[in-house]
Amino acid sequence: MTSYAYVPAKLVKHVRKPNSPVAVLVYKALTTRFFPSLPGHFCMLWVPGYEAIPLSIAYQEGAHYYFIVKKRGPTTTKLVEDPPRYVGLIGPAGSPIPAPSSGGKILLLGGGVGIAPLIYFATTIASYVESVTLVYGVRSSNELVELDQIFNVNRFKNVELIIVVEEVCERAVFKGTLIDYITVKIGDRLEEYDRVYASGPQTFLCKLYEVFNRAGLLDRLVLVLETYVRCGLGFCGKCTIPGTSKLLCRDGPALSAQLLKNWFAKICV
Amino acid sequence: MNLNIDVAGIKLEHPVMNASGILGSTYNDIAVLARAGFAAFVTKSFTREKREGYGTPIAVPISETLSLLNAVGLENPGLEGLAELLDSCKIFGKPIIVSIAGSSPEEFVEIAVVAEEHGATAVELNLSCPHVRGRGLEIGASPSAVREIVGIVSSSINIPVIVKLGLVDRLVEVASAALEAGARALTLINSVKAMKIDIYAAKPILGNRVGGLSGKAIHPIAVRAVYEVYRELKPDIIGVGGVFSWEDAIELIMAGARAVQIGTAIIYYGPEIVREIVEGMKRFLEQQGFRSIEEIVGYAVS
Repeated sequence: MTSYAYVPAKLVKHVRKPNSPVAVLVYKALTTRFFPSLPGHFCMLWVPGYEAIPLSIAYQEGAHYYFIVKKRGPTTTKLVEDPPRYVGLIGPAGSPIPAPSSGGKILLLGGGVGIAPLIYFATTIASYVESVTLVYGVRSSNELVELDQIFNVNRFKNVELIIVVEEVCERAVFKGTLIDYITVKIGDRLEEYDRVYASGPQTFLCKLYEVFNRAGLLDRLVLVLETYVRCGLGFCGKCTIPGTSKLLCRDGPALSAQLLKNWFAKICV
Repeated sequence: MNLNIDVAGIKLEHPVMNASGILGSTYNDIAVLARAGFAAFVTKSFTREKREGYGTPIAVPISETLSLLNAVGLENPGLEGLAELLDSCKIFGKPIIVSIAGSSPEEFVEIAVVAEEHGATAVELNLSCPHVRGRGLEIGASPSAVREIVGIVSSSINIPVIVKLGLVDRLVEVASAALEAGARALTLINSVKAMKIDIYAAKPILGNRVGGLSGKAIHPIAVRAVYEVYRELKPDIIGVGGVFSWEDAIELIMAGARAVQIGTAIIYYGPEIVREIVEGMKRFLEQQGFRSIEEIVGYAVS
Protein backbone atom coordinates (compact mmCIF):
# COMPACT_ATOMS: atom_id res chain seq x y z
CA MET A 1 0.00 0.00 0.00
CA THR A 2 1.15 3.50 -0.76
CA SER A 3 0.61 5.98 2.02
CA TYR A 4 -0.10 8.94 -0.23
CA ALA A 5 -0.66 12.22 1.49
CA TYR A 6 -0.97 15.91 0.87
CA VAL A 7 1.50 17.73 3.09
CA PRO A 8 1.45 21.51 3.58
CA ALA A 9 5.02 22.64 4.14
CA LYS A 10 6.98 25.75 5.10
CA LEU A 11 10.27 26.98 3.66
CA VAL A 12 13.10 26.67 6.16
CA LYS A 13 16.15 26.94 3.92
CA HIS A 14 17.01 28.37 0.49
CA VAL A 15 20.59 28.06 -0.75
CA ARG A 16 21.54 29.61 -4.08
CA LYS A 17 24.77 31.02 -5.44
CA PRO A 18 24.48 34.48 -7.06
CA ASN A 19 22.77 34.13 -10.46
CA SER A 20 22.82 30.37 -10.26
CA PRO A 21 20.04 28.56 -12.13
CA VAL A 22 20.05 25.99 -9.32
CA ALA A 23 18.88 26.18 -5.73
CA VAL A 24 18.57 23.87 -2.75
CA LEU A 25 15.29 24.14 -0.86
CA VAL A 26 14.31 22.64 2.44
CA TYR A 27 10.64 22.52 3.32
CA LYS A 28 9.29 21.42 6.67
CA ALA A 29 5.95 19.62 6.95
CA LEU A 30 3.28 21.54 8.82
CA THR A 31 1.42 18.41 9.79
CA THR A 32 2.43 15.35 11.80
CA ARG A 33 0.84 13.20 9.08
CA PHE A 34 3.68 13.80 6.61
CA PHE A 35 4.78 10.94 4.40
CA PRO A 36 8.06 9.10 4.90
CA SER A 37 10.20 8.57 1.79
CA LEU A 38 13.03 6.39 0.61
CA PRO A 39 15.74 7.28 -1.94
CA GLY A 40 14.19 7.34 -5.41
CA HIS A 41 10.83 8.61 -4.24
CA PHE A 42 9.72 11.92 -5.67
CA CYS A 43 6.77 14.13 -4.99
CA MET A 44 4.56 16.62 -6.74
CA LEU A 45 5.53 19.98 -5.29
CA TRP A 46 2.72 22.50 -5.64
CA VAL A 47 3.63 26.17 -5.81
CA PRO A 48 0.44 28.09 -4.97
CA GLY A 49 -0.52 30.31 -7.88
CA TYR A 50 1.66 28.19 -10.19
CA GLU A 51 1.61 24.48 -10.95
CA ALA A 52 2.69 21.27 -9.30
CA ILE A 53 5.97 19.80 -10.56
CA PRO A 54 7.62 16.43 -10.01
CA LEU A 55 10.75 16.76 -7.85
CA SER A 56 13.07 14.09 -6.51
CA ILE A 57 13.48 14.06 -2.77
CA ALA A 58 17.19 14.72 -2.28
CA TYR A 59 17.07 13.91 1.42
CA GLN A 60 14.55 13.62 4.21
CA GLU A 61 15.16 14.02 7.88
CA GLY A 62 11.93 13.71 9.83
CA ALA A 63 9.60 16.46 8.71
CA HIS A 64 12.31 18.15 6.61
CA TYR A 65 12.29 17.51 2.87
CA TYR A 66 15.31 18.54 0.76
CA PHE A 67 15.04 19.42 -2.93
CA ILE A 68 17.40 20.55 -5.66
CA VAL A 69 15.68 22.65 -8.32
CA LYS A 70 16.87 23.98 -11.66
CA LYS A 71 15.13 26.73 -13.63
CA ARG A 72 13.20 25.28 -16.54
CA GLY A 73 9.76 26.90 -16.66
CA PRO A 74 7.75 29.46 -14.66
CA THR A 75 7.22 27.20 -11.63
CA THR A 76 10.85 26.13 -11.27
CA THR A 77 12.03 29.72 -11.90
CA LYS A 78 9.80 30.90 -9.06
CA LEU A 79 11.20 28.16 -6.82
CA VAL A 80 14.83 28.96 -7.61
CA GLU A 81 14.59 32.75 -7.47
CA ASP A 82 11.92 33.45 -4.90
CA PRO A 83 10.65 30.26 -3.30
CA PRO A 84 7.25 30.66 -1.66
CA ARG A 85 6.94 30.47 2.09
CA TYR A 86 4.33 27.73 1.77
CA VAL A 87 4.02 24.86 -0.69
CA GLY A 88 2.12 21.60 -0.83
CA LEU A 89 3.80 18.21 -1.27
CA ILE A 90 1.91 15.27 -2.78
CA GLY A 91 3.65 11.95 -2.45
CA PRO A 92 5.50 9.73 -2.12
CA ALA A 93 5.54 9.00 -5.86
CA GLY A 94 7.46 6.16 -7.46
CA SER A 95 9.33 3.23 -5.99
CA PRO A 96 12.58 3.29 -4.05
CA ILE A 97 15.83 2.78 -5.97
CA PRO A 98 16.56 -0.96 -5.73
CA ALA A 99 19.33 -1.17 -3.14
CA PRO A 100 22.38 -3.39 -3.62
CA SER A 101 21.71 -6.65 -1.81
CA SER A 102 24.99 -6.79 0.05
CA GLY A 103 28.33 -5.01 0.35
CA GLY A 104 30.51 -4.25 -2.62
CA LYS A 105 31.73 -1.20 -4.45
CA ILE A 106 29.03 1.16 -5.61
CA LEU A 107 29.43 3.86 -8.26
CA LEU A 108 26.87 6.67 -8.38
CA LEU A 109 26.85 9.05 -11.36
CA GLY A 110 24.75 12.19 -11.05
CA GLY A 111 24.47 14.77 -13.83
CA GLY A 112 23.28 18.24 -12.79
CA VAL A 113 20.18 18.27 -10.58
CA GLY A 114 19.91 14.56 -11.39
CA ILE A 115 22.26 14.12 -8.45
CA ALA A 116 19.31 14.63 -6.05
CA PRO A 117 18.08 11.04 -5.54
CA LEU A 118 21.65 9.73 -5.50
CA ILE A 119 22.63 11.89 -2.51
CA TYR A 120 19.79 10.38 -0.51
CA PHE A 121 20.70 6.94 -1.83
CA ALA A 122 24.39 7.33 -0.92
CA THR A 123 23.58 8.26 2.66
CA THR A 124 21.28 5.23 2.99
CA ILE A 125 23.56 2.55 1.57
CA ALA A 126 26.84 3.86 3.02
CA SER A 127 26.32 1.97 6.27
CA TYR A 128 26.45 -1.47 4.71
CA VAL A 129 28.38 -1.33 1.45
CA GLU A 130 32.15 -1.38 1.11
CA SER A 131 32.45 1.95 -0.67
CA VAL A 132 30.39 4.56 -2.48
CA THR A 133 31.94 6.68 -5.21
CA LEU A 134 29.63 9.60 -5.87
CA VAL A 135 30.59 11.36 -9.08
CA TYR A 136 28.79 14.66 -9.50
CA GLY A 137 28.97 16.34 -12.89
CA VAL A 138 27.83 19.84 -13.78
CA ARG A 139 28.31 22.14 -16.73
CA SER A 140 29.61 25.19 -14.87
CA SER A 141 30.69 25.99 -11.35
CA ASN A 142 27.69 28.18 -10.55
CA GLU A 143 25.44 25.16 -10.97
CA LEU A 144 27.44 23.29 -8.37
CA VAL A 145 25.61 22.44 -5.16
CA GLU A 146 27.88 22.18 -2.14
CA LEU A 147 26.94 18.64 -1.23
CA ASP A 148 29.46 18.49 1.61
CA GLN A 149 28.07 21.54 3.36
CA ILE A 150 24.37 21.02 2.76
CA PHE A 151 24.03 17.27 2.90
CA ASN A 152 27.11 16.53 4.96
CA VAL A 153 27.97 13.60 2.67
CA ASN A 154 31.53 13.47 4.02
CA ARG A 155 30.26 12.24 7.38
CA PHE A 156 30.64 8.77 5.91
CA LYS A 157 34.23 7.59 5.67
CA ASN A 158 33.47 5.24 2.79
CA VAL A 159 31.75 7.82 0.58
CA GLU A 160 34.05 9.58 -1.87
CA LEU A 161 32.71 12.65 -3.62
CA ILE A 162 34.24 13.47 -7.01
CA ILE A 163 33.29 16.72 -8.70
CA VAL A 164 33.40 16.86 -12.48
CA VAL A 165 32.89 20.20 -14.23
CA GLU A 166 32.86 20.85 -17.96
CA GLU A 167 34.26 24.38 -17.66
CA VAL A 168 37.41 25.31 -15.80
CA CYS A 169 36.66 25.26 -12.09
CA GLU A 170 38.97 25.11 -9.11
CA ARG A 171 36.58 22.88 -7.18
CA ALA A 172 36.65 20.22 -9.87
CA VAL A 173 38.69 17.07 -9.59
CA PHE A 174 38.22 16.51 -13.29
CA LYS A 175 37.42 18.82 -16.19
CA GLY A 176 34.94 17.38 -18.67
CA THR A 177 31.64 15.53 -18.82
CA LEU A 178 30.66 12.50 -16.78
CA ILE A 179 31.11 10.35 -19.87
CA ASP A 180 34.63 11.82 -20.30
CA TYR A 181 35.32 10.94 -16.70
CA ILE A 182 34.24 7.34 -17.18
CA THR A 183 36.24 6.98 -20.36
CA VAL A 184 39.41 8.61 -19.08
CA LYS A 185 39.42 7.86 -15.36
CA ILE A 186 37.60 4.57 -15.08
CA GLY A 187 38.07 2.99 -18.49
CA ASP A 188 38.59 -0.75 -18.16
CA ARG A 189 38.06 -0.66 -14.39
CA LEU A 190 34.29 -0.33 -14.85
CA GLU A 191 33.77 -3.91 -13.82
CA GLU A 192 35.39 -3.26 -10.46
CA TYR A 193 32.06 -1.73 -9.44
CA ASP A 194 29.40 -4.19 -8.34
CA ARG A 195 26.58 -1.79 -9.05
CA VAL A 196 26.35 1.50 -10.93
CA TYR A 197 23.47 3.94 -10.55
CA ALA A 198 23.06 6.95 -12.82
CA SER A 199 20.70 9.90 -12.84
CA GLY A 200 20.78 12.95 -15.06
CA PRO A 201 20.02 14.29 -18.55
CA GLN A 202 18.64 11.80 -21.05
CA THR A 203 21.52 12.19 -23.48
CA PHE A 204 23.91 11.25 -20.68
CA LEU A 205 21.85 8.19 -19.73
CA CYS A 206 21.72 7.11 -23.38
CA LYS A 207 25.51 7.33 -23.74
CA LEU A 208 26.00 5.49 -20.49
CA TYR A 209 23.69 2.71 -21.63
CA GLU A 210 25.84 2.35 -24.73
CA VAL A 211 29.04 2.20 -22.69
CA PHE A 212 27.66 -0.52 -20.43
CA ASN A 213 26.09 -2.41 -23.28
CA ARG A 214 29.42 -2.51 -25.09
CA ALA A 215 31.15 -3.68 -21.92
CA GLY A 216 28.51 -6.38 -21.41
CA LEU A 217 27.69 -4.93 -17.97
CA LEU A 218 24.06 -3.86 -18.38
CA ASP A 219 23.04 -6.11 -15.48
CA ARG A 220 25.02 -3.88 -13.12
CA LEU A 221 23.51 -0.59 -14.28
CA VAL A 222 20.42 1.13 -12.88
CA LEU A 223 19.14 4.30 -14.56
CA VAL A 224 16.98 6.92 -12.87
CA LEU A 225 14.70 8.19 -15.63
CA GLU A 226 12.55 11.23 -16.22
CA THR A 227 9.24 11.54 -18.05
CA TYR A 228 6.43 14.03 -18.21
CA VAL A 229 4.40 13.55 -15.01
CA ARG A 230 0.87 14.81 -14.48
CA CYS A 231 -1.07 13.15 -11.66
CA GLY A 232 1.90 11.61 -9.85
CA LEU A 233 -0.45 9.01 -8.37
CA GLY A 234 -0.45 6.31 -11.03
CA PHE A 235 -3.83 6.83 -12.63
CA CYS A 236 -3.51 9.28 -15.55
CA GLY A 237 -1.09 7.14 -17.57
CA LYS A 238 0.97 10.13 -18.79
CA CYS A 239 4.25 8.95 -17.33
CA THR A 240 4.55 5.65 -19.19
CA ILE A 241 8.25 4.97 -19.67
CA PRO A 242 8.75 4.68 -23.46
CA GLY A 243 9.42 1.15 -24.67
CA THR A 244 8.23 -0.39 -21.39
CA SER A 245 4.83 -1.01 -19.81
CA LYS A 246 5.91 0.76 -16.65
CA LEU A 247 4.65 3.97 -15.11
CA LEU A 248 7.39 6.27 -13.85
CA CYS A 249 5.28 7.42 -10.89
CA ARG A 250 4.55 3.86 -9.77
CA ASP A 251 7.36 1.55 -11.00
CA GLY A 252 10.08 4.14 -11.63
CA PRO A 253 11.96 6.35 -11.68
CA ALA A 254 14.84 3.84 -11.24
CA LEU A 255 14.90 0.84 -13.56
CA SER A 256 17.50 -1.78 -14.25
CA ALA A 257 19.16 -1.13 -17.62
CA GLN A 258 18.35 -4.72 -18.57
CA LEU A 259 14.69 -3.71 -18.81
CA LEU A 260 15.50 -0.71 -20.99
CA LYS A 261 16.45 -2.26 -24.32
CA ASN A 262 13.30 -0.96 -26.03
CA TRP A 263 13.57 2.34 -24.18
CA PHE A 264 17.07 2.76 -25.60
CA ALA A 265 15.89 1.88 -29.12
CA LYS A 266 13.01 4.35 -28.89
CA ILE A 267 14.66 7.25 -27.10
CA CYS A 268 18.37 7.11 -27.80
CA VAL A 269 18.76 5.82 -31.34
CA MET B 1 -17.04 -21.50 -7.47
CA ASN B 2 -16.99 -19.06 -10.35
CA LEU B 3 -18.08 -15.46 -10.15
CA ASN B 4 -19.58 -15.22 -13.64
CA ILE B 5 -22.18 -12.55 -14.06
CA ASP B 6 -23.59 -10.49 -16.88
CA VAL B 7 -24.45 -6.82 -16.81
CA ALA B 8 -26.11 -4.94 -19.68
CA GLY B 9 -25.81 -8.22 -21.59
CA ILE B 10 -22.00 -8.22 -21.18
CA LYS B 11 -20.62 -11.50 -19.93
CA LEU B 12 -18.02 -11.04 -17.18
CA GLU B 13 -15.75 -13.68 -15.64
CA HIS B 14 -16.09 -11.84 -12.33
CA PRO B 15 -17.81 -8.59 -11.37
CA VAL B 16 -14.82 -6.25 -11.03
CA MET B 17 -13.79 -3.66 -13.63
CA ASN B 18 -11.86 -0.40 -13.36
CA ALA B 19 -13.65 2.91 -13.02
CA SER B 20 -13.39 5.36 -15.89
CA GLY B 21 -10.48 7.77 -15.51
CA ILE B 22 -8.24 5.25 -13.82
CA LEU B 23 -5.67 3.89 -16.28
CA GLY B 24 -7.92 3.80 -19.34
CA SER B 25 -6.22 6.26 -21.68
CA THR B 26 -3.54 4.25 -23.47
CA TYR B 27 -2.72 0.75 -24.65
CA ASN B 28 -0.21 0.53 -21.82
CA ASP B 29 -2.85 1.51 -19.24
CA ILE B 30 -5.14 -1.28 -20.45
CA ALA B 31 -2.21 -3.72 -20.46
CA VAL B 32 -1.59 -2.89 -16.78
CA LEU B 33 -5.27 -3.55 -16.01
CA ALA B 34 -5.25 -6.78 -18.03
CA ARG B 35 -2.18 -8.08 -16.20
CA ALA B 36 -3.80 -7.30 -12.86
CA GLY B 37 -6.86 -9.37 -13.79
CA PHE B 38 -9.77 -7.01 -14.32
CA ALA B 39 -12.84 -8.63 -15.93
CA ALA B 40 -13.50 -5.67 -18.24
CA PHE B 41 -11.89 -2.34 -18.98
CA VAL B 42 -13.50 1.08 -18.95
CA THR B 43 -11.71 3.78 -20.92
CA LYS B 44 -11.10 7.35 -19.90
CA SER B 45 -13.97 9.58 -21.03
CA PHE B 46 -13.54 10.58 -24.66
CA THR B 47 -14.61 13.79 -26.36
CA ARG B 48 -14.68 14.51 -30.11
CA GLU B 49 -11.69 16.82 -29.98
CA LYS B 50 -8.46 16.21 -28.12
CA ARG B 51 -8.46 17.92 -24.70
CA GLU B 52 -5.40 18.99 -22.71
CA GLY B 53 -7.07 19.00 -19.32
CA TYR B 54 -6.53 21.36 -16.40
CA GLY B 55 -3.35 22.71 -14.88
CA THR B 56 -1.71 20.80 -12.05
CA PRO B 57 -2.32 19.69 -9.37
CA ILE B 58 -4.98 17.52 -11.01
CA ALA B 59 -5.37 15.28 -7.97
CA VAL B 60 -4.97 15.58 -4.21
CA PRO B 61 -4.98 12.55 -1.93
CA ILE B 62 -7.19 12.89 1.15
CA SER B 63 -5.36 10.17 3.01
CA GLU B 64 -7.29 10.34 6.30
CA THR B 65 -10.27 8.79 4.54
CA LEU B 66 -8.49 6.87 1.74
CA SER B 67 -10.05 9.29 -0.70
CA LEU B 68 -8.98 11.40 -3.64
CA LEU B 69 -9.98 14.75 -5.01
CA ASN B 70 -9.42 15.11 -8.76
CA ALA B 71 -10.01 17.51 -11.60
CA VAL B 72 -8.19 16.15 -14.62
CA GLY B 73 -10.40 18.11 -16.99
CA LEU B 74 -11.44 15.25 -19.32
CA GLU B 75 -7.98 15.12 -20.84
CA ASN B 76 -8.11 12.67 -23.73
CA PRO B 77 -6.75 12.22 -27.26
CA GLY B 78 -10.12 12.67 -28.99
CA LEU B 79 -11.83 10.49 -31.60
CA GLU B 80 -8.68 9.60 -33.51
CA GLY B 81 -7.04 8.34 -30.35
CA LEU B 82 -10.14 6.31 -29.49
CA ALA B 83 -10.03 4.32 -32.73
CA GLU B 84 -6.34 3.59 -32.23
CA LEU B 85 -6.85 2.57 -28.59
CA LEU B 86 -9.69 0.17 -29.40
CA ASP B 87 -7.85 -1.41 -32.32
CA SER B 88 -4.77 -2.04 -30.20
CA CYS B 89 -6.68 -3.40 -27.19
CA LYS B 90 -8.53 -6.17 -29.04
CA ILE B 91 -5.56 -8.37 -28.23
CA PHE B 92 -6.65 -8.60 -24.57
CA GLY B 93 -9.86 -10.44 -25.50
CA LYS B 94 -11.91 -8.87 -22.72
CA PRO B 95 -14.93 -6.56 -22.80
CA ILE B 96 -13.99 -2.93 -23.27
CA ILE B 97 -16.42 -0.19 -22.36
CA VAL B 98 -15.89 3.26 -23.86
CA SER B 99 -16.72 6.18 -21.62
CA ILE B 100 -18.06 9.21 -23.49
CA ALA B 101 -18.32 12.80 -22.28
CA GLY B 102 -20.02 14.79 -25.02
CA SER B 103 -21.33 18.32 -24.85
CA SER B 104 -24.24 17.72 -27.25
CA PRO B 105 -26.38 14.74 -28.32
CA GLU B 106 -24.58 14.76 -31.68
CA GLU B 107 -21.16 14.52 -30.07
CA PHE B 108 -22.27 11.55 -27.95
CA VAL B 109 -23.59 9.80 -31.06
CA GLU B 110 -20.48 10.50 -33.11
CA ILE B 111 -18.19 8.99 -30.48
CA ALA B 112 -20.50 6.04 -29.79
CA VAL B 113 -20.57 5.19 -33.50
CA VAL B 114 -16.78 5.21 -33.72
CA ALA B 115 -16.60 3.08 -30.56
CA GLU B 116 -18.94 0.50 -32.07
CA GLU B 117 -17.10 0.51 -35.41
CA HIS B 118 -13.84 -0.22 -33.65
CA GLY B 119 -15.13 -3.11 -31.60
CA ALA B 120 -16.14 -1.61 -28.23
CA THR B 121 -18.32 -3.97 -26.19
CA ALA B 122 -20.47 -1.14 -24.82
CA VAL B 123 -20.45 2.57 -24.20
CA GLU B 124 -20.80 4.30 -20.85
CA LEU B 125 -22.25 7.79 -21.17
CA ASN B 126 -20.63 10.02 -18.58
CA LEU B 127 -23.56 12.20 -17.59
CA SER B 128 -22.03 13.09 -14.28
CA CYS B 129 -18.54 14.57 -14.56
CA PRO B 130 -18.55 16.96 -11.59
CA HIS B 131 -16.05 19.53 -12.84
CA VAL B 132 -16.36 20.33 -16.56
CA ARG B 133 -19.07 22.81 -17.44
CA GLY B 134 -21.60 21.65 -20.02
CA ARG B 135 -20.33 18.07 -19.96
CA GLY B 136 -21.62 15.84 -17.24
CA LEU B 137 -23.41 16.69 -14.05
CA GLU B 138 -25.46 19.50 -15.58
CA ILE B 139 -26.83 17.05 -18.16
CA GLY B 140 -27.23 14.25 -15.64
CA ALA B 141 -29.36 16.35 -13.30
CA SER B 142 -32.03 16.94 -15.95
CA PRO B 143 -34.40 14.05 -16.78
CA SER B 144 -35.28 15.59 -20.15
CA ALA B 145 -31.64 16.08 -21.21
CA VAL B 146 -30.84 12.53 -20.12
CA ARG B 147 -33.81 11.17 -22.06
CA GLU B 148 -32.75 13.02 -25.21
CA ILE B 149 -29.10 11.92 -25.17
CA VAL B 150 -29.68 8.33 -24.14
CA GLY B 151 -32.50 8.02 -26.68
CA ILE B 152 -30.51 9.25 -29.64
CA VAL B 153 -27.39 7.21 -28.75
CA SER B 154 -29.43 4.04 -28.15
CA SER B 155 -31.07 4.34 -31.55
CA SER B 156 -27.74 4.98 -33.30
CA ILE B 157 -25.75 1.93 -32.17
CA ASN B 158 -26.38 -1.75 -31.48
CA ILE B 159 -23.97 -2.29 -28.59
CA PRO B 160 -25.33 -1.73 -25.06
CA VAL B 161 -25.59 1.80 -23.71
CA ILE B 162 -24.69 2.21 -20.04
CA VAL B 163 -25.38 5.54 -18.33
CA LYS B 164 -23.18 6.82 -15.54
CA LEU B 165 -25.00 9.07 -13.12
CA GLY B 166 -23.80 11.09 -10.17
CA LEU B 167 -25.12 12.42 -6.94
CA VAL B 168 -28.22 14.40 -7.94
CA ASP B 169 -31.37 15.22 -5.99
CA ARG B 170 -33.80 13.43 -8.27
CA LEU B 171 -31.63 10.38 -8.91
CA VAL B 172 -34.45 7.85 -9.26
CA GLU B 173 -36.27 10.13 -11.70
CA VAL B 174 -33.16 10.65 -13.83
CA ALA B 175 -32.37 6.93 -13.69
CA SER B 176 -35.87 6.15 -14.84
CA ALA B 177 -35.54 8.57 -17.77
CA ALA B 178 -32.28 6.91 -18.84
CA LEU B 179 -33.80 3.41 -18.73
CA GLU B 180 -36.93 4.45 -20.60
CA ALA B 181 -34.77 5.99 -23.30
CA GLY B 182 -32.91 2.75 -23.86
CA ALA B 183 -30.08 2.44 -21.30
CA ARG B 184 -29.30 -1.23 -20.65
CA ALA B 185 -27.56 -0.49 -17.34
CA LEU B 186 -26.65 2.34 -14.99
CA THR B 187 -23.27 3.04 -13.43
CA LEU B 188 -23.76 4.60 -9.99
CA ILE B 189 -22.12 6.89 -8.85
CA ASN B 190 -19.56 9.36 -10.18
CA SER B 191 -17.23 11.32 -7.90
CA VAL B 192 -18.88 13.97 -5.76
CA LYS B 193 -18.19 17.68 -6.35
CA ALA B 194 -15.75 18.82 -3.65
CA MET B 195 -12.85 21.12 -2.72
CA LYS B 196 -9.70 21.06 -0.61
CA ILE B 197 -8.01 24.21 0.66
CA ASP B 198 -4.43 24.50 1.90
CA ILE B 199 -4.89 26.69 4.98
CA TYR B 200 -1.32 28.02 4.93
CA ALA B 201 -1.31 28.92 1.25
CA ALA B 202 -4.96 29.96 1.75
CA LYS B 203 -5.94 28.65 -1.67
CA PRO B 204 -7.84 25.71 -3.12
CA ILE B 205 -5.21 23.16 -4.13
CA LEU B 206 -6.56 21.78 -7.40
CA GLY B 207 -5.62 23.64 -10.57
CA ASN B 208 -9.34 23.80 -11.31
CA ARG B 209 -10.11 24.63 -7.64
CA VAL B 210 -13.21 22.35 -7.71
CA GLY B 211 -13.03 18.63 -8.39
CA GLY B 212 -14.63 15.29 -7.74
CA LEU B 213 -14.22 13.33 -4.52
CA SER B 214 -13.81 9.57 -4.83
CA GLY B 215 -12.75 6.79 -2.49
CA LYS B 216 -13.83 5.52 0.91
CA ALA B 217 -15.50 8.80 1.86
CA ILE B 218 -18.21 8.33 -0.76
CA HIS B 219 -18.79 4.58 -0.35
CA PRO B 220 -21.89 4.87 1.86
CA ILE B 221 -23.30 7.43 -0.58
CA ALA B 222 -22.83 4.98 -3.45
CA VAL B 223 -24.46 2.17 -1.46
CA ARG B 224 -27.47 4.36 -0.76
CA ALA B 225 -27.77 5.48 -4.40
CA VAL B 226 -27.56 1.91 -5.73
CA TYR B 227 -30.07 0.70 -3.13
CA GLU B 228 -32.66 3.36 -3.90
CA VAL B 229 -32.47 3.00 -7.66
CA TYR B 230 -32.53 -0.80 -7.45
CA ARG B 231 -35.51 -0.79 -5.09
CA GLU B 232 -37.54 1.47 -7.37
CA LEU B 233 -36.50 0.32 -10.84
CA LYS B 234 -34.62 -3.02 -10.61
CA PRO B 235 -32.26 -2.18 -13.50
CA ASP B 236 -28.81 -3.65 -14.17
CA ILE B 237 -26.44 -1.55 -12.06
CA ILE B 238 -22.66 -1.22 -11.96
CA GLY B 239 -21.81 0.05 -8.49
CA VAL B 240 -18.87 2.39 -8.05
CA GLY B 241 -17.62 4.46 -5.13
CA GLY B 242 -15.00 3.60 -2.53
CA VAL B 243 -14.63 -0.12 -3.16
CA PHE B 244 -11.37 -1.02 -1.38
CA SER B 245 -12.16 -4.54 -0.21
CA TRP B 246 -14.31 -7.55 -1.03
CA GLU B 247 -16.65 -6.47 1.76
CA ASP B 248 -17.22 -3.14 0.01
CA ALA B 249 -17.93 -4.95 -3.28
CA ILE B 250 -20.38 -7.38 -1.66
CA GLU B 251 -22.13 -4.45 0.01
CA LEU B 252 -22.76 -2.71 -3.32
CA ILE B 253 -23.96 -5.98 -4.87
CA MET B 254 -26.35 -6.63 -1.99
CA ALA B 255 -27.65 -3.09 -2.57
CA GLY B 256 -28.47 -4.08 -6.15
CA ALA B 257 -25.31 -3.86 -8.28
CA ARG B 258 -24.43 -6.72 -10.67
CA ALA B 259 -20.86 -5.53 -11.11
CA VAL B 260 -18.53 -3.04 -9.45
CA GLN B 261 -15.85 -0.64 -10.61
CA ILE B 262 -12.81 0.31 -8.59
CA GLY B 263 -10.84 3.51 -8.93
CA THR B 264 -9.26 5.11 -5.90
CA ALA B 265 -8.31 1.71 -4.43
CA ILE B 266 -6.11 1.18 -7.52
CA ILE B 267 -4.26 4.37 -6.59
CA TYR B 268 -3.74 3.50 -2.92
CA TYR B 269 -3.28 -0.27 -3.25
CA GLY B 270 -2.18 -0.78 -6.87
CA PRO B 271 -4.10 -2.57 -9.66
CA GLU B 272 -3.32 -5.99 -8.13
CA ILE B 273 -5.98 -5.29 -5.48
CA VAL B 274 -8.53 -6.75 -7.91
CA ARG B 275 -7.37 -10.31 -7.16
CA GLU B 276 -7.80 -9.89 -3.42
CA ILE B 277 -11.28 -8.51 -3.93
CA VAL B 278 -12.29 -11.34 -6.25
CA GLU B 279 -10.86 -14.05 -3.98
CA GLY B 280 -12.53 -12.51 -0.93
CA MET B 281 -15.90 -12.44 -2.68
CA LYS B 282 -15.55 -16.11 -3.59
CA ARG B 283 -14.74 -17.07 -0.01
CA PHE B 284 -17.66 -15.08 1.33
CA LEU B 285 -20.16 -16.68 -1.06
CA GLU B 286 -18.89 -20.14 -0.18
CA GLN B 287 -18.90 -19.53 3.55
CA GLN B 288 -22.38 -18.07 3.47
CA GLY B 289 -23.74 -20.87 1.31
CA PHE B 290 -24.48 -18.88 -1.84
CA ARG B 291 -24.02 -20.54 -5.22
CA SER B 292 -23.48 -17.47 -7.42
CA ILE B 293 -23.10 -13.71 -7.47
CA GLU B 294 -26.53 -13.53 -9.06
CA GLU B 295 -28.10 -14.79 -5.83
CA ILE B 296 -26.95 -11.83 -3.78
CA VAL B 297 -27.77 -9.05 -6.25
CA GLY B 298 -30.14 -6.83 -4.29
CA TYR B 299 -30.18 -9.32 -1.42
CA ALA B 300 -30.33 -6.55 1.18
CA VAL B 301 -33.06 -4.58 -0.56
CA SER B 302 -36.53 -4.64 0.89
